[in-house]
Amino acid sequence: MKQYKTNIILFISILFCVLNAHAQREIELKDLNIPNSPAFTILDYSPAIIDKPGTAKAFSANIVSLLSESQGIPKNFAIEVAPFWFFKNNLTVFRYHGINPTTRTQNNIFANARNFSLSVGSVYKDSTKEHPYNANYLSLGARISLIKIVRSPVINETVNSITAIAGRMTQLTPGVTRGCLGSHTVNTPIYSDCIERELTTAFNGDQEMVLQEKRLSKLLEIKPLFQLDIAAAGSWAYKDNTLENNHTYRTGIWTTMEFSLPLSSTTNIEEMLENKNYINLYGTLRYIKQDSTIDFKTFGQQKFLDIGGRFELEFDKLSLSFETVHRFDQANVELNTSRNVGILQYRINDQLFLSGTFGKNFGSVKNLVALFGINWGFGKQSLAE
Amino acid sequence: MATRVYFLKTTNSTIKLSVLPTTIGIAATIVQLKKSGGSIIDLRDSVNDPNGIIDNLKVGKSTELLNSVLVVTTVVNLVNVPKGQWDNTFENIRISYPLEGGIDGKQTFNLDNDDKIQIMKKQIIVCTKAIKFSTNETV
Repeated sequence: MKQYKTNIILFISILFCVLNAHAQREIELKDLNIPNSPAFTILDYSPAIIDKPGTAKAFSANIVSLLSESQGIPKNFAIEVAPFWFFKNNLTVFRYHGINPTTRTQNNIFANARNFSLSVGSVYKDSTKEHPYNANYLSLGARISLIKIVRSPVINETVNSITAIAGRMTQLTPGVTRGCLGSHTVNTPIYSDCIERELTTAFNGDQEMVLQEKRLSKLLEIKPLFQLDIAAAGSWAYKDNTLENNHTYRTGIWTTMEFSLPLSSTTNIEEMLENKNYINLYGTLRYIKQDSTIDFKTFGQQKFLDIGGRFELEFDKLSLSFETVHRFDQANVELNTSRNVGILQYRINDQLFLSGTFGKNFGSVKNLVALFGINWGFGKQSLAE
Repeated sequence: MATRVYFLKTTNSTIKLSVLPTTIGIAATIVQLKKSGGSIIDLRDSVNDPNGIIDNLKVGKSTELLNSVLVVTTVVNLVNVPKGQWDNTFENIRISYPLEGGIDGKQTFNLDNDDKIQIMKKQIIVCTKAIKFSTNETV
């Protein structure tokens, strides 16, 4: 029955996707959300594959490979890295989470900022009637979650849960190591095999360990009280993919503030752990500058400042929201406009979202928004992200 | 994954050990001693300290430790770390093991690459440092 329902939802979604494929072309920069990979968003580019080298060595290898394989500037690639993970650091578990375990308070609201990511990408466009020149568009972007404020009951329980997991591991491990040391010589492959086998059995078979791990995962997924994210990206066009013929293309900076209020008690941790319903308030500020051309000789410039917000009701897999964004045209005040839309999203699973957007878009002509579609490949992002 | 050697004095000096892990995962350390006769003694664990630190542990007297092997096991749980970063966290883990009371005085051993393994789909890191107590005459 569940499978049957999912199939119907999928079929309807695909149908709407096909019917509205044309309308979805220009959605990227109109989204209020801060982009995960600003370098790709600034080019309205949704790469099918994003290289995410996990180490500095892999990142260097990717760059060297791109440069050696391409003639001129590398074309059609997408790389995203989080430099924090490339290097050794002196952080401990509590410092990593910005927690003072003694006072059980959050002592570093900027702790999440260390996960900042850099993205770099390129899209090559051949000449067409609408785009009468060959050009390689290269972009560079960064994203940072600057401030994250977590509610104190969540901090307190996170300390408890981390301590409980550590305690459980110290109780379960000695028996395993004693057994393996008794039958094998330490530091031999057979000893390592014994440790792997016996520790896996002990940890997986321990209900308290499994329970605490699940509890900690849930605690870390509870929406923070407040979060401030910033993203920025710049892009350049290279005519005929030559360094000499270049011009800035589009530049943008986004900032989003999110305030989340659980529709449950904010003092009772058990209720917060079970809660999946929130009222979310978002505020956004976005600046976009774009140099447009049809011949790569004369360029016209557009500058927009967008200020807006969103009120969202999130009920587990379903979210309903109203979004308003006011656009200030820096060159011509008469072109100031606004976008007011209602958004409905349903999470079919962690990878698949069904979404609908209705209302008025920017501009004064053809400004009706009525979009249905499926988004996938967003991983375990919240409906609000 | 070679067993290291710490040289003991012939006098009855006290051997002390600290275990200082640096990781963003949740760590637990167990220190055990495998005696030359094969018996295994639990010396200490890091109790509820999720940093897995053991400070200034009295391992024993030099004369009692000859030919024993000190086995320090640090288990690191990465349930609090994004799954995509488990390999990096494995690469970046560091542990130092300062020992004192022997011929060379304070000598710090460090975690080597072949001392650590990933288990349980990489969520758990197991670091094992084995240090044999010896005298110059027995090597």
